[in-house]
Amino acid sequence: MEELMAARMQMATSMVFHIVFAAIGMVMPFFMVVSHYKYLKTKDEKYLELTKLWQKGVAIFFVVGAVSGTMLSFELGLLWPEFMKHAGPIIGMPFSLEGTAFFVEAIALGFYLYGWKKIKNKKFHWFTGLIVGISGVASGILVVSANGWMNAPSGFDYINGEFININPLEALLNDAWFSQALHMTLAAFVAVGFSVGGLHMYQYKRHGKLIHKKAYEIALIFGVIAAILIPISGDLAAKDIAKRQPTKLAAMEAHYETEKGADLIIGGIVDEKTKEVKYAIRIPGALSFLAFGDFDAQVKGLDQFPEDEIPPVAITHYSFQIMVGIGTFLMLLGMIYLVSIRKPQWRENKLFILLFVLATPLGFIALEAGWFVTELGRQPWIINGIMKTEDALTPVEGMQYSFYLYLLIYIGLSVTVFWLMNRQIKKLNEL
Amino acid sequence: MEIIVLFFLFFSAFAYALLGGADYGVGVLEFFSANKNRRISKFAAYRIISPVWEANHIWLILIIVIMWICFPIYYNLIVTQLHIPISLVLIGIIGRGTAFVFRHYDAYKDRSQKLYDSIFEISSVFTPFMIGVVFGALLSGNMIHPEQIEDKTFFDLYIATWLNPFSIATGLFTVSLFAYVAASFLFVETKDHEKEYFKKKHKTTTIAVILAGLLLFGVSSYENNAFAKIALNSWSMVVWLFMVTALIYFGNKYSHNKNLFKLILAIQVLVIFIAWAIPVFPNFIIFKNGILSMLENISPDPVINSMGWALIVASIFVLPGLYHLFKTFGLLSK
Ligand code: HDD
Ligand code: HEM
Ligand code: HEM
Repeated sequence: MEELMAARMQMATSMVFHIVFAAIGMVMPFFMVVSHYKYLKTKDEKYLELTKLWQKGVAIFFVVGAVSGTMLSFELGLLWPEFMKHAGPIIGMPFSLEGTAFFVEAIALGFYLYGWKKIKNKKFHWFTGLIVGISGVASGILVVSANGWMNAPSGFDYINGEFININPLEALLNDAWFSQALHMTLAAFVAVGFSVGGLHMYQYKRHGKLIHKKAYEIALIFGVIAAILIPISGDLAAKDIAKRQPTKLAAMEAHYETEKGADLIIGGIVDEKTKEVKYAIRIPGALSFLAFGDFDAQVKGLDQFPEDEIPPVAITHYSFQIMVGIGTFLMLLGMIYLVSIRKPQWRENKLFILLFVLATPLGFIALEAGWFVTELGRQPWIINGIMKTEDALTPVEGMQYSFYLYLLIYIGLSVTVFWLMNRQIKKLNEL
Repeated sequence: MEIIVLFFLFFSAFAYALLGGADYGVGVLEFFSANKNRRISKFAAYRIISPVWEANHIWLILIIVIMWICFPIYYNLIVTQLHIPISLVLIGIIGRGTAFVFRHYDAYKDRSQKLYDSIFEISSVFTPFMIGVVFGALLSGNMIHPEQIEDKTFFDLYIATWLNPFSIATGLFTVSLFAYVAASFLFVETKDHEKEYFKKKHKTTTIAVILAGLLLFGVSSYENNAFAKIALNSWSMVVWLFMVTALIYFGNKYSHNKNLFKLILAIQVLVIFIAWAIPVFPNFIIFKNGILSMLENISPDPVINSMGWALIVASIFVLPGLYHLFKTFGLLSK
């Protein structure tokens, strides 16, 4: 394997792993505090039990998120030292603020997890739980802003290969940060909401414990609302990209030829050699409309760009299709769920339950797919239009060994975490 | 603002050595305890350390972030030439962090506990050792100046930089120092039979630190390496001697007053820091040939200014929170 490929795969593996825990770390605390709030209000012991169950989950996931995040912050430098040398000072701002958010989160979590007996003021104890959630979301938004900068670099002048007149605040508030951060935050709620919700719904069906019903009701309401909003914010992101990163848009849509009134291509098999998409459904003019709000607008195709500036088309296109497909499905499912609040008999229906159980992994799949779109669609640039990924690579040789080693560690950890969660649930059902 | 940024960098490093150090040290103690005492080690440590566990490790992230934002050239050199030991540190961190929570939160306490224990203990020794190696590598005089990398081999650039006696001695010193910090800390925080136990550990680790320190100096002056030339002059020796004496003397004298004892402990670690930092300042990497000052390779002003402000504002949020956290869980008595 060549060095660049190995480094990219290592980066991808680490990110794919971290984002799962990051998303859970952002969202679970909210479920936990809602359950806790209901306990404080109703004094129903079931809610206390649930809060404590989720708290255990939060603790486990938090630590795995924290260690994998720590690895990532090193890996950025270990793998892409040239990138960090120039980008570090510019996008340092979100990272240093993120560091603060982590600190606040870790302190609040210390109070929350171990404060059940020690903290006399019950409201304050609950409040520290809320802080955990808020600072988690804040740190998520901040890192995504750093990623937004890679897509829409700003806050400096690039002259003769030098980055000068650096303005960290402008870099933080780059053109992409808002649409990406909004979309990512919603995505985290969708992914975690549906997976926790589906899981508990399944357990409720099997074991009939009331605690599982209460659990899925809390989790799903978050997931459902986010799922209904997310296509709107996704559309916003796509319009942004149409302006800013036409190569990414073209790759997402497998749109090879520049044309007016461009078709939206759904599904199909991309042949990167002949530059064709076979067996796809085409909706006339729809791409022009989605990208620019006008059925006749011209959409740049990949033919407009030099060969060596084109991202991998097939994976980007498939990933995009997967995300949008899942997004649409979950939005519909969300609407069904909202109706079922009024029509409780639906919830007894086998098909209803089956759909939600099936949806358990979907949010996460969409989340990963979306990141593949963003990250692969940016290739070959690490800083869009400024620095190529290959120029950022570390000079250290033998990256493939490093990649295999990390891969092994991540697989090991994933298996262990999965197994541990399984044991938690098993234990709960034995009680 | 330069001063502020540097202050926070050193403060984080110091805080990590003290708080993170205590944390690693607990694992080191567990690793070196006889089977029958292992439970004491494990449970006392868990009770006392876990509420602040997360917070202790964020100092490391702060160090990295400050380095890459404010000292990108230094950072670049470190992460390339010390790629291998830093990767090993990361693997240690992953193993340790996860084993620590897994063994506590696993719903069933069965055979898997043994596995968690060994991963935790081994990585508790291994990680600080590698951190020490990285640290030692910066000062051993084997780093290659960026203008001289052309004709160097893989071995010169990525192995010899850290695989040398001085770095290894620094690694050993770090492990003993962390164990010492942990033992001292637990010694004042525990009662009855636990106290007896940690008192013994306190003694053995005191001896271990002194021996490791001597080894470090021994290796350094035997090799007559860069560190020896710069730092082992008379005044730093005075500082060191003072530290060693103070360490033994005060430690025993004030062990009944928890806060004072901890303050003295912190001062001991601080003295080690100062003894290291002052002589080499501002060249924190010593090269085989050539010099590269950390201060002259700092990021442009707007970056440093915004970072400085970010750090000041952040500490307004973070420090009171940390203080209350430590207080609530009895780590600072009233
Ligand atoms: C639960 C997850 C999820 C769901 C259901 C969707 N997305 Fe998404 N999407 C993400 C999770 C995600 C993500 C993983 O969070 C990304 C990656 C980068 C980012 O900011 O968000 C993303 C990126 C992303 C991008 C690229 C942004 C960029 O590169 O800057 C576009 C254009 C869309 N999405 C569009 C959509 C549309 C039109 C959806 C309609 C249904 C949709 N997404 C549903
Ligand atoms: C957590 C969600 C994320 C996922 C799943 C993800 C996924 C990926 C993937 C698949 C690649 C490899 C692309 C390729 O080289 O072909 C990559 C590269 C990279 N990502 Fe991300 N990414 C995520 C978030 C981020 C964020 C928030 C940042 C920055 C702050 C970031 C920085 C980078 C860098 C520097 C590279 C390497 C350079 C490159 O390949 O362009 N990523 N990521
Ligand atoms: C979209 C991408 C990302 C999101 C949304 C995200 C979000 C989060 C969240 C919410 C946490 C808290 C841990 C938890 O509660 O489980 C976390 C941890 C962490 N992340 Fe990320 N992260 C992302 C990518 C990255 C990248 C690219 C880096 C590296 C530069 C990084 C570095 C860290 C670090 C160092 C921690 C540990 C902090 C701690 O100890 O609490 N993250 N991340």
